Amino acid sequence: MNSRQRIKSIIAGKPADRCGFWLGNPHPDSWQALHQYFGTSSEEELRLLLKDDFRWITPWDAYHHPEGKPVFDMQRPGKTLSEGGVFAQTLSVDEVEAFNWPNPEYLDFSRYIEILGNTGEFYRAGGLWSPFFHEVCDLFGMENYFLKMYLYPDVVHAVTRHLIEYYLAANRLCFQQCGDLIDGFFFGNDFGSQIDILVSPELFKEFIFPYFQELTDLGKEFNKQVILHSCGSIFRVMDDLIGLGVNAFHPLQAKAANMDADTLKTHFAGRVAFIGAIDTQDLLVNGSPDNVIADVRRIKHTLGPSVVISPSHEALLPNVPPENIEAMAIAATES
Amino acid sequence: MKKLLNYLSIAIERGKENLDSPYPPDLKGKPGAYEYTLQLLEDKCPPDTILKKGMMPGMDRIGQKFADGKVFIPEILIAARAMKTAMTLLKPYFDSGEVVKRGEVIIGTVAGDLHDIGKNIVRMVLEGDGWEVYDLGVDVTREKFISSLEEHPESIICMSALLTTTMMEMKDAVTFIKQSSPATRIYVGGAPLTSNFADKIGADGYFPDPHSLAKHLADVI
Repeated sequence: MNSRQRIKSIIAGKPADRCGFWLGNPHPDSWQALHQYFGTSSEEELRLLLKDDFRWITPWDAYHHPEGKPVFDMQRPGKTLSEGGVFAQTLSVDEVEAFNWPNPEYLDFSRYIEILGNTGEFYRAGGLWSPFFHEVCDLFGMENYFLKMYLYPDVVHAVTRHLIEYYLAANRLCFQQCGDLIDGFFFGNDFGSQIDILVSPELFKEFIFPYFQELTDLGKEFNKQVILHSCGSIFRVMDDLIGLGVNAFHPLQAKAANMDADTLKTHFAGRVAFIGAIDTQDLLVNGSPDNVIADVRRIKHTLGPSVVISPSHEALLPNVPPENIEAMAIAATES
Repeated sequence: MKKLLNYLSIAIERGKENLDSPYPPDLKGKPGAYEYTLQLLEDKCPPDTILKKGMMPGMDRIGQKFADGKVFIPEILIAARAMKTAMTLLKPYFDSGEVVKRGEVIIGTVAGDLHDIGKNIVRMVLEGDGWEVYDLGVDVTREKFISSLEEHPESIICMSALLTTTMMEMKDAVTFIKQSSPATRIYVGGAPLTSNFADKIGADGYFPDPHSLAKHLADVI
């Protein structure tokens, strides 16, 4: 069984020769120390060394506006989540309609197809990242967005609809052109905090789920496995998300409320696959390699066989010792 | 008057800002926190009573519901908005000294960290609980905390961090501030933090949610 077959089987809930492993997507500041420790010189070389089964390949640079404009011209003065973007003061749907929304015709996937074609027999998680929830946040400012859900729901729906229309059209083009080069539709929205979901289940039902389902339906139409990335505690809505078509959850923020392996097993085992779960908030930063090995084995025992071992936050920071990453990889790929 | 104070607290808890506010739908067309506060002032209710018996109980109840997982961030935000609007009517009384805040809090996300939502929620809950809060924003250096403390020497400091990397900055910032001002209370919060971590770095406490911090401050200060 090669890596690609292995992860496909795991996500499909079918038997595999061992559990899967994904290194994650280390932060740019982390790579130098990793290469130094492992004696590697490229990302792919390190992934091969660690027996990484999974490749996250997304077309970040496929949008080519003739005037060089970004996909969404957020017009945000800063980078914090609360900082309002172009719709911070918007109270009418007309203003939303007047915005210069992106045009999927400016997408060119030729380079992306080339990269996918050169990927070995590894699982290819791809499609556009499609973080519509976060982009609505950025366009309004997070606090403003949440308030407008109550005060100006039509405006929120209008913005979300435009974002989703773009992502539906863009992913459709992507899947049409890439065909079987992509195995899983991997997209991300951080719906949770450390203690709970960010907005109530009722607001999820009105402002998030309907749009979310359009994306999962598109993935299914093209026979892709649907993998949702969401940081934080999303326990309260995981049942709903499975019902909407999610095949695997990533990254399972282990220390967030109700996101521990035992709770996930009790409530969701057999209905969905798990990618992640190795704690990055304490264990990988402060633990010893022996601690990491013991925890990986525990997670495999608890969530296996439908588990892909990976950090509980993919962007491994420079404070994670390479020894612990090595321990995670060894324990993940041992039989 | 007691009835009006109760209506005011309900308006704040439920985020009914004023008469024109469309939210919550079941209170559409009814007075909100602004109108109840105005009515109470016209009825010669002492501003301090309006704050402590009308506004703060509303924020306290919504904060408790948040801590209990019964409401979420948007409900806190909309309650805080109603409170803020009503508070504009009390501003002259704060300016004259007729009403005083519980105390002062300096709050910020530590250097290197740009995450501000949790910090902002804490700010709103503390303001709703009667504190004067000086929000230094995100990416706040230890020097900035000290400089603000020099302006407001009686303040409590609240620090936030979301990243495991910036938790270390929190440790250095706590040490730095305690060296120059040992009596200043420093509380910490943020996703990866624990009570153990707060103890280790010499902070005075860690709270997992804003309401438990507000309750603690109300109890000890």
